[in-house]
Amino acid sequence: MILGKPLLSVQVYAAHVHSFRGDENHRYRAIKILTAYATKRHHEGHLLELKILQTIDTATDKCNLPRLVDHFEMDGPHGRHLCLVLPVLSETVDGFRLSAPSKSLEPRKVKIIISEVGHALIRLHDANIIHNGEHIKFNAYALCMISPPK
Amino acid sequence: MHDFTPEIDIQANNVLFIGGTGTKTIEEHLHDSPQKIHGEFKLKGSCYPIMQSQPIPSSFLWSDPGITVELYILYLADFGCGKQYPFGQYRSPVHRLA
Repeated sequence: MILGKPLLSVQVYAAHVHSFRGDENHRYRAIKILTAYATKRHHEGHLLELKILQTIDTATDKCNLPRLVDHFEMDGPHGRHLCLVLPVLSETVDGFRLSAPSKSLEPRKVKIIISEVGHALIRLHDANIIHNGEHIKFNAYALCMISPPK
Repeated sequence: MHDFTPEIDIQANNVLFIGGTGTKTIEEHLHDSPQKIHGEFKLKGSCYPIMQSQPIPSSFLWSDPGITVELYILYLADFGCGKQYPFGQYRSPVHRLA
């Protein structure tokens, strides 16, 4: 099952079947499909998302940071696309805030959110990584169901 | 060796809830909210559908009581423009506050 732009979805599904790690309660993964331009920038060493996720994956404490499940590349009509397989996350804090009638969250919720982000930042900065804003849309997301191991 | 603090940019769209992403919850969501086609485009003679973005809702509500708030788990995501520095060159402002 794919949600999002249908970038060769059959290939996305098939490529990930082999990397299922056996958690029946979490059989879905998100696939971040980078554009051909962003993939080229990765190959040239200008973008570091894959390297950063691999660094996070080697850290002993990965709380509040996504774990890279797998990665692969595929061909599309515009060139190669780097695909990052990640855990499925749900709503953004922005969406959560906008769901409130006042479009704002009460202090106790904000306090927990800031605490969670602070924990993530401490772990990230321990690995000498900083989080910069994304100014250009480089990617599309798809949701992928993983087949059980044969 | 330089000690510098580059700009950190975290937006509310980069912080996401982890709740509500179990197999059963997602399957129920997919059943209740089937894929929606938003349009189509033509490429090299073939037509492709453009699917509407359908974010997965969080299992939490803005009106959650205090006891539920304690269960919030959030992830910092999207390292598309992230930077990595050689060991010792980056001094975190978060650590300075700690």
